[in-house]
Amino acid sequence: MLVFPKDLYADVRIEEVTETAISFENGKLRQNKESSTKGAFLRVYDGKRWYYCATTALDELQKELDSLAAMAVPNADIVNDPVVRRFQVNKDVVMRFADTDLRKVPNQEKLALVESYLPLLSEVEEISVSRAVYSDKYSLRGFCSSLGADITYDYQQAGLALAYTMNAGDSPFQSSARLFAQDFPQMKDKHEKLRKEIAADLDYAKNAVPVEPGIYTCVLSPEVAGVFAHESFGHKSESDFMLGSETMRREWTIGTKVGWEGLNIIDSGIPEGSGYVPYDDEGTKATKTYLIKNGVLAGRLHSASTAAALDEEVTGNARAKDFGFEPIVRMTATFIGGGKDNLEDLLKGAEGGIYIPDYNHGSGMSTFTIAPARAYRIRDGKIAEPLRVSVITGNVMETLHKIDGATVESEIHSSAFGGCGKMEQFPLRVSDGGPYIRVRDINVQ
Amino acid sequence: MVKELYQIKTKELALNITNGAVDSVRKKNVTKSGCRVYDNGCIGIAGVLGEPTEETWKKAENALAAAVPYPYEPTGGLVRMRTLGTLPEESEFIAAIEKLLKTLKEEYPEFVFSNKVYANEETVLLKNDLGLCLEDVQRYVSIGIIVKEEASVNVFDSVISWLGRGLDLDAVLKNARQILDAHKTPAELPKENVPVLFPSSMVSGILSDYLNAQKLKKGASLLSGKEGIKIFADAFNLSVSVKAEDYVPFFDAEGTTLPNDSLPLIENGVLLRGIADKKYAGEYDVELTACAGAGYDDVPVLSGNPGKLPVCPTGTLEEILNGRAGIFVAMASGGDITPAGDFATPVQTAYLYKNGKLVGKLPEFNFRGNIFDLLGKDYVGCSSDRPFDDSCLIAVCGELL
Repeated sequence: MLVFPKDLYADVRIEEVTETAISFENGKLRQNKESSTKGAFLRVYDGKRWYYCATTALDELQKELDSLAAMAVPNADIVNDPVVRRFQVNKDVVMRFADTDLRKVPNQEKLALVESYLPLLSEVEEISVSRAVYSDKYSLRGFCSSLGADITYDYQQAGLALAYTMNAGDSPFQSSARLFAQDFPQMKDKHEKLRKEIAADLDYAKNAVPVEPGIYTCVLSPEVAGVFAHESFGHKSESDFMLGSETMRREWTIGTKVGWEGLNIIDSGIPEGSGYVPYDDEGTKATKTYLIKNGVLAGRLHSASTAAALDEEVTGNARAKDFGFEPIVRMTATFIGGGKDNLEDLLKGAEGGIYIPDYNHGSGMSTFTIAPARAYRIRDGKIAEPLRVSVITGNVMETLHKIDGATVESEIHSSAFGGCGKMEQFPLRVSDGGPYIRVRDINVQ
Repeated sequence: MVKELYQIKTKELALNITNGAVDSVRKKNVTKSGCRVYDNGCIGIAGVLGEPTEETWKKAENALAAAVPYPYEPTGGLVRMRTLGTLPEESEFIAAIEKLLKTLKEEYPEFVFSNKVYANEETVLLKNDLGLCLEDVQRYVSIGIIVKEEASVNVFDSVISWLGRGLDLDAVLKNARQILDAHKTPAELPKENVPVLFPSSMVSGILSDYLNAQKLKKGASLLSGKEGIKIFADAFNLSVSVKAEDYVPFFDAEGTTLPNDSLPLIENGVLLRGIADKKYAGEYDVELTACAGAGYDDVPVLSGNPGKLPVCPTGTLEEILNGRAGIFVAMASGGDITPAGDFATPVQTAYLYKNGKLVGKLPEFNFRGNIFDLLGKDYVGCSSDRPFDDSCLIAVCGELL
């Protein structure tokens, strides 16, 4: 039992992670690894400065805690500090994955799963180089604080990626087909789904022509709409970017109209998937935060520090990549809410525009960017010829007003590979999503 | 059976800056150990955080049962140690950064400063039963301060960055003042076609994929079939380099080293060779290029780390521009390259370079060009100095939109 230092705030987060990584290259086994790690991140706060330590010496936590406390300046009124006042004191155990624990699936079964998908790569003669990667992770996080918080929760994910280079057109084309699941049986019997994705990539590789750079109306799939929401608006909602700037606070006043009246963007750690975060890394319980509601700025994402700085409340978005880092403001599951349209109508209203079904990466600053994996012309209300597009961009604040249609169903997309990057903390698992959306005046190159 | 230890030790002191002040001090001292066992053409690996124990080695032996093939001779009979850099004392480092921030706030009250500075020591060790003992210790200070104009609605507007073997406050302030003074002065995009200056690591990152030996040999690279052929400008040279100025260990994850810590890949625009680990070197009968990478408990595989593939310098920035103006790209995020080699990126922050200095901030624009043109007819050179931040710069002429 740790003894927390007097007249200081302190918390300790311990993370135990068990992972499997199996990979094949051109059909031959290259790695089959199972590993377990355990580490702790300690924080001490005196009202002026934070002191942190990341350690794997778990039998010396008290010593590390005392060492951090010695660097801080005791503060008899620490419990009334505006940051400390915002910490929730929750006691909870949330073991969502006890019955489907990936650690209990034998390695041989995981290996057999990957091997079952290898023929999808070998049966395509245009694939010159391929990799098949299976990755799973079970994580147990414990959090306790000097205020009395005591939380334990688990998380798990499994993923399969079939990555390939195709020699089909006039230049090699790289892409991948992927699966995500949080329960091992869900990884099975997805051969037809992946086969279709590979076939779509092959057709694209053979037939795509360079797009004429210019300004276009784009229809984005739910997956791409999700990354659009994440990159264009999600990062701007992370309140640490706002600290020290009165201008940003004025621009981002709650209640400001920022987009089309049918636009809703939400962040929440509640939905299942790679953005599932029942408690953040300061012990705050997950909630649902409207960032934009009916086109109006409705909320921001916070840690206790940013909430105190802006005199707002915590939102469950203080997250750390792993035990080696402190929590900072991050997204969880960020998605655009559904609208009223159907896909047919969106396409009809985008004649000559571009449909983007998936993407390679995105970024968001003043300008957002999305690099499409594939793109297609919209012609006569239908998805037509494939186009090569390097990147689509737009000014964030202007583009939100250019969304003028959204289908009814909103889907959340998860991934077991990659994740969100913010400064040094990459990758962090998140999810994103939305309906199909139509966006006007996008710069396409 | 051969036993081999691959160990990575990280000692870090990181200061977080929020609104121009140090608001946190983070310490890390983490050791990651990978125990490798080679036997009968297979490899077994077990990893642990901290020092390995008998149990770790036993787990590595047991992992041989997974029959992961690795039919390559472990490197042996080589002993070399290298230590680079010295770090300031902790209290001295904190005081110096606080002084830096105080100076910046006083001189530039219209900007908000945030993000992190680091004083790091990274040790990589590889040793085995065959007489291999390689150890590389890198000590460096890395500064990456995000700059936001108070009056701007952007998430951030620019960055002050610096990398060095100790802390040179004067050099950091020089970088900072150049950037911030230019940022305060609006400038117009030149009407004439002037060279655009990107971090050379951007090109290294693109080419690292094209130079993958397997992709070259299997027709899966844009450069396939072009070995021995002139593909870029005479002045364009790219090497594998593990010298002190590259900030990478002098050996790779398989223990491969290079004579003189360097090996050319592209020389005078001619493609000489791709990058290969032991697997690809054996399969495709090409040279080892010390480019195997691995996490502490991973099987080594080919890794195209851009930090090891620097574009060779052709002169200082002033020399390569030779009186011409240029556009220094401070932030270009989100760009990509098509399979045909057409590169495009938005440029969020750029400055006009004229008469030996940054003179003003340019409006946002988009840049594009085909890689063969950018490094061919449109290639101007690569700087030997890092004039504005922690990057050497390549100068290329492309299309600005």
